[in-house]
Amino acid sequence: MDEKLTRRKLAKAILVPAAVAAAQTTEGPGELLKAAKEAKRRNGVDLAKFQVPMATEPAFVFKP
Amino acid sequence: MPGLTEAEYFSTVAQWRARLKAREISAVELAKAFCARLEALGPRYNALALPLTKRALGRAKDVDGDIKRDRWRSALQGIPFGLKDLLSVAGFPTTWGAKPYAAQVFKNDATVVSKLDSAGAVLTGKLSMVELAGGGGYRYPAASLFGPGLNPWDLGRWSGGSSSGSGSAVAAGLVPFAIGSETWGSILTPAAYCGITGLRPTYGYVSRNGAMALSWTMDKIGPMCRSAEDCGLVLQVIAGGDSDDPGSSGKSFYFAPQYARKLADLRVGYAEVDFNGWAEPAARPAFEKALTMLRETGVKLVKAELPETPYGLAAGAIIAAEGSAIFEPLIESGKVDELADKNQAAGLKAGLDLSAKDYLKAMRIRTLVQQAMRKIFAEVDVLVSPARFGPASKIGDRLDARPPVNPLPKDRGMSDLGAAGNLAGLPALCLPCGFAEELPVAIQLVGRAFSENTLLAVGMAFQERTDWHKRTPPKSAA
Repeated sequence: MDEKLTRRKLAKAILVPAAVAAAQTTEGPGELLKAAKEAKRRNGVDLAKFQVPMATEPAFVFKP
Repeated sequence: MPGLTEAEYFSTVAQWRARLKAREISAVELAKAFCARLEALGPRYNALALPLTKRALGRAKDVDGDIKRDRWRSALQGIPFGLKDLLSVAGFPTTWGAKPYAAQVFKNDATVVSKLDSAGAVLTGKLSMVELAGGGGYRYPAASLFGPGLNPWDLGRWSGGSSSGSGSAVAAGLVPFAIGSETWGSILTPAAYCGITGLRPTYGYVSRNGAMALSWTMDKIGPMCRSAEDCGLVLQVIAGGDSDDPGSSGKSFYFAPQYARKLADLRVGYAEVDFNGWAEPAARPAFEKALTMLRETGVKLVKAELPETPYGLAAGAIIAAEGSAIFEPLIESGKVDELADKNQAAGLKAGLDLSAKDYLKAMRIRTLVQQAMRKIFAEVDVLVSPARFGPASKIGDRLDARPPVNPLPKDRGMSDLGAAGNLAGLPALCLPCGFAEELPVAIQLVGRAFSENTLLAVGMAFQERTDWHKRTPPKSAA
């Protein structure tokens, strides 16, 4: 833990992966929003498929 | 570093307590040493949000005054700690890890901070986190105002989120313990990835007053430490009723694992497929050894399974609906686009469109999950499964594109225990259990609501027989 952290090591550890991450995000904000809305819509469809007894109330005033 | 050896920085709360009581070291000396270390090494892991050295030294001086007069307030008196930057400290910036809130300052301390202050614990700094605790759904570890949380075991790996700084700071010996928070995985993931012990308390046990809200019905605050015993000592101080938190259970916690049921009387449920099917191949030997060690504590291991339920979908819908409602002003102002992870901004915006029908369906499913967990806990006392199925991911990896194994097992086992436990508000204890690819892996114990003493008793027995929680990152990795 006492080993000296050089600027090069720090750059390698942080900047390169961050740049990689940025480069991997190829979609623009509009496309990301569209994809996020579509994902939420699909999740809603899947939730609807799951049968819940009519008497089941939502877990309001949540107490474990 | 003034005064302490490298090994001493990895002492437990109980060990520091004994040395303070024996007057071997003063609170000021301890605070000085840990403040210096946090300031020097915190940036190496992107773990430090804000050093609070001056405040810490002032508090430590007061503690020394108390100790001089033999006034012992708690087991944490004089012990330095770090705080996730999701909790407010009066007069200092509380960024929530997000650029739009970089200059935010609150007038009041969070209840947890007040409790720790009153107990004589010494806050040395605020620790980094994933922006807005990741509520919008983030794709990369870099989703933070402070950069990606770097793992002390390997700087090329993620420390986990969203309590990233709390995980790395404890693992690297920058603080004896830290406070984190979990909505869905944010204490257990960094604890597992960094090789430390983390406790997610029962919902409502620890006040959320002064904490950023992501999900009113799922947020929990909890300790991240070096051992199960330390988690118990910290929880005793931070738990308790609070009229400023509408979700508060009004219950106090007394750390008394010795009064929990005898280990030989405990039934611990597990699903074999979690350990040899869902777990990544490299991690399976460690997980299987963990089961053997757990059995050696005297508990009875029995087969268990979770009913088929869309746990993840329900948890995701609840967090999306509540999180987007909470951050509506940020979204409407357009400042949400300043977040580092654009996927997270998109997720928060999309959450505003979530229908009442979907939210209510998710909350009704949650009722069923609570009922199912009660039924399971009529048969067993504790559930055990891998905390994460493998070691920490690489810093540049997409977090939403990593299948644990390929192909996925047909039997779900208890692979959804994380989502189920959080939906039902149940406590969980993360215990390091070995290594895979030279990185820590961990198991989680989940119990009935308010059964923390049972979890801690099992965790302490496990840690008496293992030394994974005592391992420290190799110098070459740091």
